[in-house]
Amino acid sequence: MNNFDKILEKIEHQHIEPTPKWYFQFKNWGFWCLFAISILIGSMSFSIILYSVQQTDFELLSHFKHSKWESLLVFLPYFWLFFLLIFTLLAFFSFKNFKKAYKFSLLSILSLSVFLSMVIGTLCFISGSASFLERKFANQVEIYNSIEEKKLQHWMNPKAGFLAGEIIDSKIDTLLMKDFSGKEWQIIYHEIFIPPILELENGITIKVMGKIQSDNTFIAEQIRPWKAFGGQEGSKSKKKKH
Amino acid sequence: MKQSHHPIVNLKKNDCILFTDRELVEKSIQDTSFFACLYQRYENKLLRYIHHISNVSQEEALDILQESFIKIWKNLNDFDTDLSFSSWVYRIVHHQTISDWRKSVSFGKNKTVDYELHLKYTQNEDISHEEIETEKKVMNIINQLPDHYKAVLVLKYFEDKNYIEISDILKIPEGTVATYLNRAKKMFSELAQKQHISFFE
Repeated sequence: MNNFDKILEKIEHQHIEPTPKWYFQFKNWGFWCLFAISILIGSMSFSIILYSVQQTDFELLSHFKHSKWESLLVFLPYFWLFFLLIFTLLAFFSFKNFKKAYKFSLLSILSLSVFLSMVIGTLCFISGSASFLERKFANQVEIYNSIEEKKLQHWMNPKAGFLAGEIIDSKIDTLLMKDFSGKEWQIIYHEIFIPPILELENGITIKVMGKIQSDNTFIAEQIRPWKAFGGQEGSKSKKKKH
Repeated sequence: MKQSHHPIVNLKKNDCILFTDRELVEKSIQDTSFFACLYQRYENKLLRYIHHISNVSQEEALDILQESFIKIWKNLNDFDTDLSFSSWVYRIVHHQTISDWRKSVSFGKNKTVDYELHLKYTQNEDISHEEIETEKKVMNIINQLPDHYKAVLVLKYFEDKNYIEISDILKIPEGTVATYLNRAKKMFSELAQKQHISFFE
């Protein structure tokens, strides 16, 4: 019995059939889909990271007692960074399973996965879908605190020197402001820096840094607009949560 | 529908040359006579390759070839027509050989091989004593190289494969093939120098 006869006998004896074509096609499509989904979720994470960076009050860093680097760590969107890492790796893994993937070096596959996530993520961010996606996610996942909620928590802390709300009356050197919990505050300001784009008029939402003087009086050291480019009005966001 | 594996058409050995590899793959699924043609076409080349990269005995090489052809049979529908059939079978045989090699403790580097017997199995034509001696020396040095360097050297200089084919067989980028080949040649020369072996006498 020659070697081929032995092969034939084994095929016969063990009933070995060629695996059907659809199985291989399904497998290939599976990896393509996994790649596309991973890139999409990675892009979404990247766009939310950009949104989170945009919403970060970097001016606060100088007001923290810790070093700037330590304080910066507090602001990092760990959840989305983790998502980005996981789905970039998943995209990399699925690409590696493509039939011709071996033609590319590991570094170029990884770079491609990161590049695609960054480009699509940036486009999502520019189009404004990042904040929408982030809020949708926060509404769906109970344990997740949205960037907006974290921002609100931070700025509803007058004892620490952070206060935010809507202007309800404006006089020279004094504002009447209603914070997001509905409490009214008298904000006193004198010769402080106010960004030129900010007009202290009724209905405008602002954030104030300074010192609490009495139960409802706050001395402002800095006044800034609440809303960053592409962000949400604090008051609207709060209403939505209730 | 269940297919019979018994040959339907009894092809004579000479009839196999009428078909290309791709045609034989397509027809093999219907009739194993065509699969036999593929086996006959590649048997010697693949046995030689198994011997070169693993130093196994003839029986072990035949077992590896058997396992490889069963894998080829199972995966006939996955044969990528962008690839040459030759590269595809070399790839399967390479992985099977490496996998068996890793499983076997007594395999490979620590094994003493009768090169004359080994060459008798792997060469079709009569070879001179001088050629056997040269190949013995070459293989002794190649066997001291890391596996990936050994594979590229064997594919390039014993199997006469080009960079694209080596890339397809080992599933590495062509640039990596070039890098491995350069490093392997350098390492080969250094080892030959250390052992005072010259191939240009």
